[in-house]
Amino acid sequence: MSSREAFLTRVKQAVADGNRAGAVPSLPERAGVGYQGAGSDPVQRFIAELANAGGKGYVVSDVDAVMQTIQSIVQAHNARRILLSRGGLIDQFALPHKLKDAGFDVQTLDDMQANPQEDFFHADIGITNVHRLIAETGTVVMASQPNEPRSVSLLPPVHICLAERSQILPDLFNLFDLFSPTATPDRSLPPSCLTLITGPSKTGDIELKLVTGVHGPGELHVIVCG
Amino acid sequence: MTNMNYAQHEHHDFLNASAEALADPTLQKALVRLTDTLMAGNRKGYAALADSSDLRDHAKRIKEHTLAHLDEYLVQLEMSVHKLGGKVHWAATAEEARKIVVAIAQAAKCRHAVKSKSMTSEEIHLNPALEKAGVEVTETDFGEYIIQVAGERPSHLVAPAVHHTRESVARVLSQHLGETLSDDPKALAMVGRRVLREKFRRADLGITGANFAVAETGTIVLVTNEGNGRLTTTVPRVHVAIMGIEKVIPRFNDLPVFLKLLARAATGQTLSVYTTIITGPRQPGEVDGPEEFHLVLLDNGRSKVLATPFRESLQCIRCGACLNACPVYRRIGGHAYGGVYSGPIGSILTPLFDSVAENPHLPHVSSLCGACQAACPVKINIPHMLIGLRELQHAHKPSRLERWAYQLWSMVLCRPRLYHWAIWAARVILGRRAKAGWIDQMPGPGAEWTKIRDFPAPAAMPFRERWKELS
Amino acid sequence: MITCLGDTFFPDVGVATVKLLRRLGVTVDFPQAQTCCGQPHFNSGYHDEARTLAKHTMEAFAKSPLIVTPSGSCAAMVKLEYPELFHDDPPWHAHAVAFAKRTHELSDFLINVLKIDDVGAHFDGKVTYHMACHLRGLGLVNEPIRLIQKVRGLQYVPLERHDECCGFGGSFAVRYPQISGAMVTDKTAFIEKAAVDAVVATDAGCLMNIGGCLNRNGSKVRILHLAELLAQQ
Repeated sequence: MSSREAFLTRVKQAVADGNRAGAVPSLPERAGVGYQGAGSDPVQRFIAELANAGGKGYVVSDVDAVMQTIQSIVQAHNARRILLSRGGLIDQFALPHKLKDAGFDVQTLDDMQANPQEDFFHADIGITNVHRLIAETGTVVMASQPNEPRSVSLLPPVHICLAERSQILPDLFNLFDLFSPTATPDRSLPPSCLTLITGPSKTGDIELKLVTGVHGPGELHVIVCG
Repeated sequence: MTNMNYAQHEHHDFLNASAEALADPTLQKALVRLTDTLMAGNRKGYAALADSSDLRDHAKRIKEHTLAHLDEYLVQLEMSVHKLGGKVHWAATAEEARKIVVAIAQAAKCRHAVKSKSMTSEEIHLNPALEKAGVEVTETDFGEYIIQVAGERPSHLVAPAVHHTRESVARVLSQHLGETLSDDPKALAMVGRRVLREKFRRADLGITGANFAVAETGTIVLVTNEGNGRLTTTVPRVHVAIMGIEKVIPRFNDLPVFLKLLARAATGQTLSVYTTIITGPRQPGEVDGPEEFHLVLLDNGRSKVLATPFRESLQCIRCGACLNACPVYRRIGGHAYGGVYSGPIGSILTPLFDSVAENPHLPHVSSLCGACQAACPVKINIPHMLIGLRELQHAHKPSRLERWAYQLWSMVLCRPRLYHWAIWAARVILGRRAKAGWIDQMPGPGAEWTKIRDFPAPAAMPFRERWKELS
Repeated sequence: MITCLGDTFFPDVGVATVKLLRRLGVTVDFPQAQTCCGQPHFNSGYHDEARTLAKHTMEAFAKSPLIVTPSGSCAAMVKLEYPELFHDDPPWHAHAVAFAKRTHELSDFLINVLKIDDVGAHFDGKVTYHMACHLRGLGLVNEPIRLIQKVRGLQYVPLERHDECCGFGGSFAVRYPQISGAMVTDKTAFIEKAAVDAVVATDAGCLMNIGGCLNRNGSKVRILHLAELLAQQ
């Protein structure tokens, strides 16, 4: 017997030995339990929850306001190197172009071919799109894909992300239903890496003193457009 | 035979370790601060969810169901991971798990491993095995890094370095790095960022645990507040996740049930800062993320527990709430328990996984106050299991005198007249020692009681006598 | 049900319970065969002995339509553990389930069965309340406080960490006097800080432990069972 078969035989026996006759529970359906929703104003709820988690939210109406918001964050940090992911609002707003014109050192995925990791490590600010926002928890959801590397929202000390109002989901449950083979059998699998970001990187390992930015970005800015 | 992986010291001296903890004012202050803060979060977290109690019941039922079909879900998980291009490894023991991870590292020619905090890898004592094989291992959770540099063990499930002060952290890191560091927590954390960034940059192997694994999609989930879990699964080209078999859940949309509870129970956060949901290795066109994904499924005594009424302990999602709620943990801290897992859940897991006979104190180090169960996101009946272990202890290492005493006592209690006589006798014997209704020095085992406080003298007339005047 | 600790050490509590219940129009009986609910044996892992005592107790109360006990710990034993103890013994299991339903801790009985929170008690002084752990298990988190707050002349002072265990825990207090001692020392410090005349609790174990510590420290704070407080007029 291979170690795998022996392993599974042992578990199977243990399951049988431990199951109480007539009391093996079926897989429960959740119905509506635990669903919080976002109330009447999901944008406000998102911004409030994000603030609770230590992030900063902005609601803006046009591309000029987006640029202004980004520029003020960049200037506050005296940041030089800006890393951008691709597609979505970033392309729609022609952000790489506008930021270059404004005099910043901009790096897009098109600029780096040979060793992107070094560029990722050296950036001061990362700007991304988002996959979704979750109002209930103030969460930014990132889905890894060729246009959206994991590193852009992770390695730079400051993360700015752009979202559309329509990308806000009320509740955490809504997000998981999007990828769930059980809820929607014809859906594709979840992406290789789905990341839920709720506030800036935090540690309390020394005397419970809250310190941000120990590993991930110490600042999280979310710009909600429209 | 004892399994050295759970109990760190075969003859861990619980009495001395707990006495030392009680006599350490710095530790006492840290424990009060930690447990107060995290328990306030736990209460607030549950209160903020309108139907948190129902959601906890639902989470518990998912775990009950999964454990009752665990073999099937493990096979499904394996199939799902294979479909994604990942590899599943079956480790019956800690030793097998160590060998598997070392072999993966050697096959992929990895030299520099970074680890995200994982109790499972603590449990199998992975680091020395990798180091022996020439792989440098760095713990990257800031607290774990401090512990690693200091050569210690974590003393709390989610706050591993709680027993340290800012001064001791500054001392430990200054000595290790050969610099003089200030004891400002922010500055120390930034030193951690700097040093660990270099480790990440060089790392070719990322080792993590898994908070959950989803059978139907082959997904594993990591929850961190610092982001080291993300770095560990983004930069290195090989990712190895080691998980206890009890971590599997059936469906992708069962995940939010647990995610909504985990951080609330642990700290009161709605979610931890980073929830990393990994489904397979890097896909074509992606520029980061691991090229290889390995999932090590660890038994190491879990199937033994699965077969018993102690199965409920396998529902644990390692949030640490029972530690924070426990009035005993609050006073003696994690190291006194002597195992990898401490606090109330550790008092169950260590004897079960290691040896009931070799851990005689743990099932008894509880006043059975039930605060642990009240704080637990899956409502594990911890007091019940501690009592069950006490029963099991009698089978493993019977104390004849104690058993005889309890038998005699119950025999007396089933005979009301004999019982009546016995309380009169107690009154006569103890009455002579009483001063104004209290006794300051008891004989026999009662002497332990009166070390601390007085003992009430039996009343002149028991209630059953007084009843006559009432009727 | 006035079981071992109450019977032996705090008979006044039993007397107060009887007087209080009679004042509220309840007919009270005391079956003489009752001794101990079996909890000490159960908690120490002597489940056979606990079963014997559980059977003895159920038989002693066979003719009682309702059982009231001024002890959260006995009520918890009966209501939460008896059914499980007889899991593999269907006739006794059914018996235990029915018995559990008929049994009530005193504050549970007053608030949830009689639906009374004002029992017409009077007490002059400042009082604080320590929650016994077994009330947590029984879900009786507010009942005693509601009763206390309705007592005329009484000034209720909330106790810091009122729901933290006092460190009794039966054999725990004897096995680990240092840990138990640290717990009861903190508990009595909070009680002293509340600057009250009396501390109220619902269980003999807590009263023994807290009272013993207060007495050792020469405190002026009295220990008072909830029944004793509510019986006062």
